[in-house]
Amino acid sequence: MTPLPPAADVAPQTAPTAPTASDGTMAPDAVYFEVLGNGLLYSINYERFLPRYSVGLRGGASFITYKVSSASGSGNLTLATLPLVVSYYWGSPHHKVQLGLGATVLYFDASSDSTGTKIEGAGTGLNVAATGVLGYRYMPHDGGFTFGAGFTPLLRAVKGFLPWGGVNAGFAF
Amino acid sequence: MRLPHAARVGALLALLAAGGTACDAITSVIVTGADFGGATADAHCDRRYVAEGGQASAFCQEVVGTVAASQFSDDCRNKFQATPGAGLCPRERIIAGCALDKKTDDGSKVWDWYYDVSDVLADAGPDAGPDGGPTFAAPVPTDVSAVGAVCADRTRYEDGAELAFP
Repeated sequence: MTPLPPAADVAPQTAPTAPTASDGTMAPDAVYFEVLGNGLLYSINYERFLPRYSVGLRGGASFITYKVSSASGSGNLTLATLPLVVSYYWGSPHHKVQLGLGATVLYFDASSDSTGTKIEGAGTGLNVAATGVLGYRYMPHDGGFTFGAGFTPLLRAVKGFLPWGGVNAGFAF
Repeated sequence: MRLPHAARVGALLALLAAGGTACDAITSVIVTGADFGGATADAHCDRRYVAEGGQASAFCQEVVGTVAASQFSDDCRNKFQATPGAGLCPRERIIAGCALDKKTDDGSKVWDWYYDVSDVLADAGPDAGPDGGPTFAAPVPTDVSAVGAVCADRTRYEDGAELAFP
């Protein structure tokens, strides 16, 4: 019977591997739909998580066009938003408190009446609003359903402070 | 166990009321967001100045904070042959106005401002309207108390209106 070599002489059976999702790190990407929130009325978002820093970088977009007047020849109103948010995540592996800051680029074009005249209020055209997030997010380790909710206020020079909130759900991978 | 009829009707009405309230709340939230995005505006429809064949009236209607300014403008022109514009009604020669109590879908506020049109009547006469009719459709209030009476007229303002000043 051959004696076993000392433990220190035993070569590792497998090479060390990079941490995987099941090792306790969060799934690195997510796409989700948010109702209200930083995108104002809704937004479709992509978020890239940087687990080493517990940070998420999010970009989103929304677009609405709507014919206000039923008169022939009238135009549509258009509202587009691009929320851009950097968030810090803190908490247990699955349940995170989200603290974020960012900006929402807003574009609004008033609808025209049947003569082509646009009656515009304050804040039309291209603008930027400051925004933030204080919320909760569920983070699946191996990818899958993710959701969150939070307080998502916005601030614009011409419109002031908007206490706002949002809920979102999507898929992490 | 079956609920008594009155309880079932009560539960149904409560459910409908809750549904209506929820619908109003959702609309209010959407309008608030749209307003923040820049979607609301003020507009007016000056009924004193009408296109050929239109019947003038002695007031201007203004709507504040509406998301439907283009519809308001088209209605002004197409239904009344009147003169739409951006912003509030002209303030010159206003006697008083009526702040309408009617609840609008977009949470906007509506005022009808009545004008002293004696100068127009002096120039054009009382029967310069379509087909020799009145220059201005009734009512043509000439003082504050007359405007107050118009505001209180529930056949004109079904949901009520309060006397207002610019």
